Amino acid sequence: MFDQLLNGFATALLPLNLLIALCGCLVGTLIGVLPGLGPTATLAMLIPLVFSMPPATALILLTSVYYGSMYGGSTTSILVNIPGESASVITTIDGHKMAMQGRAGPALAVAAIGSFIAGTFAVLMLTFVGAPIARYALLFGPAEFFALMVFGLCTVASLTGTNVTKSIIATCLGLMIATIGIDLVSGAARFTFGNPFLQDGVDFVVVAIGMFALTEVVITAREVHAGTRAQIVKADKVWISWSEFLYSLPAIVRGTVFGFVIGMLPGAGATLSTFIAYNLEKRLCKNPELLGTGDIRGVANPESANNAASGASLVPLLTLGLPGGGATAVMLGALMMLDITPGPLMFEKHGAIVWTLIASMYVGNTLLLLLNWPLVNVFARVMRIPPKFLMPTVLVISTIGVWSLSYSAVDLVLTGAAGVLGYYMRVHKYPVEPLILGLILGGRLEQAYRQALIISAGSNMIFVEKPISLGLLIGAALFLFLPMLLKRSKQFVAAQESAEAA
Amino acid sequence: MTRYVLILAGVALAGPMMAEPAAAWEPKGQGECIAPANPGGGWDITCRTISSVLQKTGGFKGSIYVTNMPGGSGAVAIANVATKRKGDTNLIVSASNALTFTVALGRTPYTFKEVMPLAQVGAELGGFFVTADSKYKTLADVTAAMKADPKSVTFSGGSAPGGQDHMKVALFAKAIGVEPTKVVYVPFQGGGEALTSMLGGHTQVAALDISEATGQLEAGKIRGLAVLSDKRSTKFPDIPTATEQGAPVNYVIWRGYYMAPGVPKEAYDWWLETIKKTVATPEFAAEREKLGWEPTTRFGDDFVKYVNDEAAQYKILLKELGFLK
Repeated sequence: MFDQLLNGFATALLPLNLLIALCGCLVGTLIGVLPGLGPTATLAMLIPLVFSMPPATALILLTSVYYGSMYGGSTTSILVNIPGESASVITTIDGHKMAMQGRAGPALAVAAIGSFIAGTFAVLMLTFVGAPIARYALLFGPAEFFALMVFGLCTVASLTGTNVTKSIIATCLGLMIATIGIDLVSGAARFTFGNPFLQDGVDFVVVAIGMFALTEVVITAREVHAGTRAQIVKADKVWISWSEFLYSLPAIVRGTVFGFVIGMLPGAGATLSTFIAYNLEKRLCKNPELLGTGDIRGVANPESANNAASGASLVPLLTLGLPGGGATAVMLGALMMLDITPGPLMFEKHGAIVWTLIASMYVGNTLLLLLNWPLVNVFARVMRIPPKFLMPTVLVISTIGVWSLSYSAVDLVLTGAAGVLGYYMRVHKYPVEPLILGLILGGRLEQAYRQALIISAGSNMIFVEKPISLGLLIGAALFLFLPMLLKRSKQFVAAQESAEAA
Repeated sequence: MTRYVLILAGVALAGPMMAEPAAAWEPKGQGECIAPANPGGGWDITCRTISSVLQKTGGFKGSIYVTNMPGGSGAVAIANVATKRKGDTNLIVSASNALTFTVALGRTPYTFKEVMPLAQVGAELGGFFVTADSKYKTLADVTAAMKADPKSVTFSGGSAPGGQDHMKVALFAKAIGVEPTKVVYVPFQGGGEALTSMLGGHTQVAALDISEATGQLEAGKIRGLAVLSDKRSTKFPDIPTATEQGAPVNYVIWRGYYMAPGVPKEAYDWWLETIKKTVATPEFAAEREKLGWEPTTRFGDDFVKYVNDEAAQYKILLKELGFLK
């Protein structure tokens, strides 16, 4: 196996392939930076290109772009409070606060370092223990997926820590938006008003651009106009300090592990892993009250989780031929075009190409870390651009991102509507992140629930009878109610103490 | 991003062409193939294959670019082509049974009568698959189990009920005399997920296209119980047909193209002849083999009749299943 991996490196490090990987990383990063263009859309655009390339080179291009766009996604989250893709929504919470405090550089740097550690960990796992651990993905049927997503949704209750009710309302709004489109189980068109563009549902990008970008632009304009805009603290350093790195290392490690475990389940995806990892981090770390106030761990953790997850989603694809979420499905399409049938025999039949692909993942991760070193410096300077120039630019780029989804005016109208709703939510202090999670998970949650019920002939007992599902549901209940109970008991104890004191 | 350029090009080209004399009709400028889906999917591949072979063999002088127009399982593209691309002589649109479902279910106000079906260039076979260690060794085992209790077998498929994979199961149930509405069919998003669920033991039989099962079949992880066609698959001749096992089901997925309405006859005939010739080339045969398609073809009037009949048949079946009133 080491021979094969070394051969893979020999191919991946050929000057042409290295150049392709570098270009891919750069293009991927830049596209990941643009709000609206995520890894899936980027890969889809590249498919026509790879048609004319040798298979190994084509796959190197695809993976490096994929990795690059995962790295780039955090940049706009940190700088302008607009997530570049759904897996970077959580990063806005601490990332943007850091940027406003003049710490955009360390935030960007820790995102890059965390991504590198997580990405490399995922490839190491793929190299050495791929197939055996990938089999665990098969344990997850509809019932288990439903429980996992319920677990994910319950973590949002503790996301803001301030108002659970508002979090739950926002989550439900997201779930409601997710019902738009053709229902997979009955085939009925719901809330489409006869418009074919709505049959495929409302894309995450449409809502996120409206809620984050439009809202941010309007709020910034209002603040600047009223003269209440908080001054951005001048950056004193661009790269991360050693003590900051050591401080965020446990968060990176935990993010990596949770991201990998969740990302490997086909269809669970990087976004879910960031929400779960961030909220578990809140339970496990020291001084959890600092998270959400511009804590560097709040960037390190989700950014590690999403890269570990996207690396992990390739494990079942490459070892067992099982496609995972959106981006891996596109990869699968590309493999088939290159006449490589994904399946358990891929390592035997196309060993040279697969090992080159794996080697190129190591190379890609390393290249991205090196690439981000100078890029952090460049991006951190964005914070110095006055809002009157920055915000209109953001608006234009975001609108193009929405338009590029399906060239449909319907999407632009929906973005506007999401902007109005987002503004209302911001002003009245409703968290937006739970809405996004509800929107992303809603379709799959409902689908998994109904699939499970078809299998069990309508009996809800299926969720309790399956051990994994039962465990996750208990975990979800604990997540939701434990904080309330703890608070109650603390109040109770405090009340008793004060009663005794009196 | 590129689309408005393409539309302008199409509009600019369409006008003067109609005046050309019939015998010497040749397309001028660039050709276009609309894939009503995202890159990488079946319709996209159908477009890219024909455009690359047409250019390689010189069947089309000049380049043919592929435009992706996803949305509503073909509904967005057919609406666009039927209304905005009338008479466009340089445009073909890829299609398959999936579009017939969109039409039959009434998810678009347009049907095959509002556009011009051109040709079928290949076919894909569907089938039933189980894990290698499944208790169902042959289709007869499944038949026996379902006759005893229709709800004892759990099927998974990659389409919504009333879609392609569900149809395989429903037609099979009908063929063995089991009420199709009683069958347990679990829908997934795409054949890959349906396959994963079957491999994990959450469902028992997966209704897939052969191309979706190829990797696992070759590795011996799954077993093909039956292909749903009159003839066995050329790639996996060991899998018996359902008909051989007493369940006469002939359900084949065609891959082909339609043109915009109002295209002059000479242009339509030119495309027909060109595609006919191209499909017979070794270059196309190589692509077909790569994709695992069967060499079944239909052209012109034959094809028009075929798709319209198919839409009518699907409507009847969908009514029986309760998806249409």
